[in-house]
Amino acid sequence: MHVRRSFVRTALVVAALALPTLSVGAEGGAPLPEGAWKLNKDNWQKAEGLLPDPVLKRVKAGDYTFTVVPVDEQKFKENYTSAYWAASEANEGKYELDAETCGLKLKENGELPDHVFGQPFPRIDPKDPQAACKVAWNFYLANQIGEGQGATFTLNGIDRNGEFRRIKLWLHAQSYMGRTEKAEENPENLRGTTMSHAMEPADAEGVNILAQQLNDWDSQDNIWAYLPQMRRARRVNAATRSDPIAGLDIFSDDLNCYAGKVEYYKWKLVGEQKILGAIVGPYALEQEKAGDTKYEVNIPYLRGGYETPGNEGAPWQITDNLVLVERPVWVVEGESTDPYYNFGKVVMYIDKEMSRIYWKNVHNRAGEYFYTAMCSYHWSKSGDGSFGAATPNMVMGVNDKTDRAALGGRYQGQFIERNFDPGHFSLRALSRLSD
Amino acid sequence: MTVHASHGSRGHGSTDAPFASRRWLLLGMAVLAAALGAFVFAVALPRIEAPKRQTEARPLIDFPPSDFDAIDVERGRKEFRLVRSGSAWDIQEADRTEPVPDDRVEEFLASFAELPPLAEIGSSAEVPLADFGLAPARDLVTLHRTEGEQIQLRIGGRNPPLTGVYVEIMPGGQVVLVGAVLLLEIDKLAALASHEASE
Repeated sequence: MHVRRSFVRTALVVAALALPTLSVGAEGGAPLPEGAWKLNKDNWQKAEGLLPDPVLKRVKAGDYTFTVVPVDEQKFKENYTSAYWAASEANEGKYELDAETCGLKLKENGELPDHVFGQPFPRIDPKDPQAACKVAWNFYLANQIGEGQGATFTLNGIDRNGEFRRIKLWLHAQSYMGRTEKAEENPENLRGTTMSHAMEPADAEGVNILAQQLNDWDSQDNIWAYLPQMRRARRVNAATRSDPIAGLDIFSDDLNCYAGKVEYYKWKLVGEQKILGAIVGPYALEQEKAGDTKYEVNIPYLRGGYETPGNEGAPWQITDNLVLVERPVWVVEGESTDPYYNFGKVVMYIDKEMSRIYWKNVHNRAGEYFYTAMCSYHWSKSGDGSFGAATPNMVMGVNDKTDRAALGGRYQGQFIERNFDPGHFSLRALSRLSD
Repeated sequence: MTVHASHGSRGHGSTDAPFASRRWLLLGMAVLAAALGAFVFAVALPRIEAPKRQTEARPLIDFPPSDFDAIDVERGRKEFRLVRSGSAWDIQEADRTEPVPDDRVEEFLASFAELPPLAEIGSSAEVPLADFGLAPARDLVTLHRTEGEQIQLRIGGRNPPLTGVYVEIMPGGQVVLVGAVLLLEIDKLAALASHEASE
């Protein structure tokens, strides 16, 4: 029973991780730009006000060393395609929000759109009471521009003694709402769907999860889990996105730092500042053509401290191929409307221009802070620059109350499939994957 | 049924006597068990107190938001006052008075009414205030009540894992540990003030 529950949790993680969108990554870490510098315990003061306090405290204590790189603002902006920016400008004035749910709707007729490419709200006024909700929509839809994506990756539970659990799985995601080109068919009116398959360890092997995010303002996700021991697919409660995954310090809602529908949270803009955000890059990686509609992206491995001989920092810090860049961010608070959601107030740092959430600080329901997630990304573009993707590649979840952490992601290869077979994301496929 | 008939075929008399006494024994034990059960339910259990909840939901400040008509905040280098004006709130900062979104202030007050202390440290007369970042306090929030004594929260340092913050509540001088979300709530008001000031 315990094992079964563990399977389901594992699957849920994967499913929730997948919903917003996957994307792809880079081609073996590019050489560091001129001006790169190391942030560590000897110069932690340089990051005062540029990192969440619990993170800065760990830099000061010697737990973390980061490589900080300068970026060319224009070139960084070009991590998204010119078509994305043009579409964003064209979206100005086209959309508005449902005041009650924060749901997106067309200004002209009040209907919920089924496809929005680009930022629906290219200009944010901090005085607008709906500013945070608009920032959230820009974030959510940018997650989906890569259309269909997939990767095989691991979840690693790590404490001061090193790795204590490792789960290997693959995840395939199909996006509908924010994709670059509208899908020919979307009969179930979805925003996105995912399929995941656990590969290791033996107690989780063969667990498959199918998840669907419906395009409406109020429904919960549909999630089904296939358990090989039972040879049955079961419907799973979707209100578990804030549960720890398989005993690890990582949560289903951690992918992209927020994996739910925009409407699940009440959003508030609580400030603006600059922050050091984690990325692989810093510039877009190249997508290599691997078929008519398939592309592959090679990504340098984000090695953990526990895998690095002589590592002196926390075993869960990333020691290779991850850099921090200084970015202007909105500081946004999100609070779930679901009484069964475990988190209280969640503070997220969202890039004002690139719509990525770099960090989130999580409080429990009693108002006690306990958890920070660092969310890392990369951008990739096709050879002619006409198609791009923004992809999450790693989450470092740290429980500051228990001094434990988990790393999720860290794949070295990812694919983009612009024309996924819809049958791949079906109950029939869910059962057959493990046969 | 077959067995019973079979017993019967052996006739009554000496073979039934041990069964009869066993029946009486079982009946007696059943009566005793019933009496014991009745005693436990009727007498013993009511005397055993239900275990107290680990986290009492007693809030940091036990007054409804409507009780307050002004708030003074000193957070870092920012000092400002919020004053209730009917159903709205104004911020007074330096030489300016401007309206602010009332839902932000109401939410700030409501959060105090919902925030339970995580731990009670003790009276300020008994605890070394400097150890908790309270000598002097780092930030001050003063809540002015429409009727009754004002309440001041003297905000101290954070606990080692930064999950909470020490607060001295005046009057009374009780020192408690509260969730770090308290600082977020204060910062949200401070951000409101800085937006006004930056224009």
